[in-house]
Amino acid sequence: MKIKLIKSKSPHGRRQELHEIDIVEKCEIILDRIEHEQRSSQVDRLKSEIPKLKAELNDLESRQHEAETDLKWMEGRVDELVNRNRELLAILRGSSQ
Amino acid sequence: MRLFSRSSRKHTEIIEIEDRAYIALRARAERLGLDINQVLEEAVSNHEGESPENGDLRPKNESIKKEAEKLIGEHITLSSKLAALRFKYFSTYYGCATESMRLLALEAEHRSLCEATGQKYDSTHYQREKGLFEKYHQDLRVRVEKGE
Repeated sequence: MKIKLIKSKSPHGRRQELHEIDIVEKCEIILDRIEHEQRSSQVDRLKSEIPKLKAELNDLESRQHEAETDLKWMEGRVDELVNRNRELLAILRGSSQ
Repeated sequence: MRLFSRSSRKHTEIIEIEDRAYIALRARAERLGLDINQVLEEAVSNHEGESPENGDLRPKNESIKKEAEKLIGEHITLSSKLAALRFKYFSTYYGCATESMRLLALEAEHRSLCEATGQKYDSTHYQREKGLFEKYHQDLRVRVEKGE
């Protein structure tokens, strides 16, 4: 859409046309430029964040694996001690009777 | 019809834009977090200088939009995996903290029972148990101090 930019007062007291511009096109160009800046910045941010997320995920997977191994061992050892203590308690009760 | 006016000391500019074009421009500006009046202001004040410096940016914007969408998808997938794994890890982690405490108590009970019954106490696993208790409780203490 073409619009006319108009001076309100000319030296002769008349309205004076300055330029004719396509305001919609001008706005589109500005918005294209801003969209480009925003999207570029978004892509840069994502490109820098994704490797960090991947590294954090790998680290956590490794810690999870380690914690699961520890937990499994501890659960086995708890069972072993519970049984052994039960046996010792039986011996203790037997010896006291 | 919408009116947008801009005044300065020397001249006044009046722009008339059809509703449909204005609404479309305003919607696009809002999607970009902008005020349409500022965009119009810039278009008028910089009407001679504003031209696509790097050619038409629309094809570039389309391709960068597709790239951003792909990266956002990847970001969401990774973030979701991370959130699920964090939950799983903390559950395992607190299980370890609880179990290591229980283990030390059982070990102490075992030692007492060995002494009481005259059985030989086997301390083979004690250092590992103590190490696990310290590992999970020290880390837990740090997390509590950090407010995590």
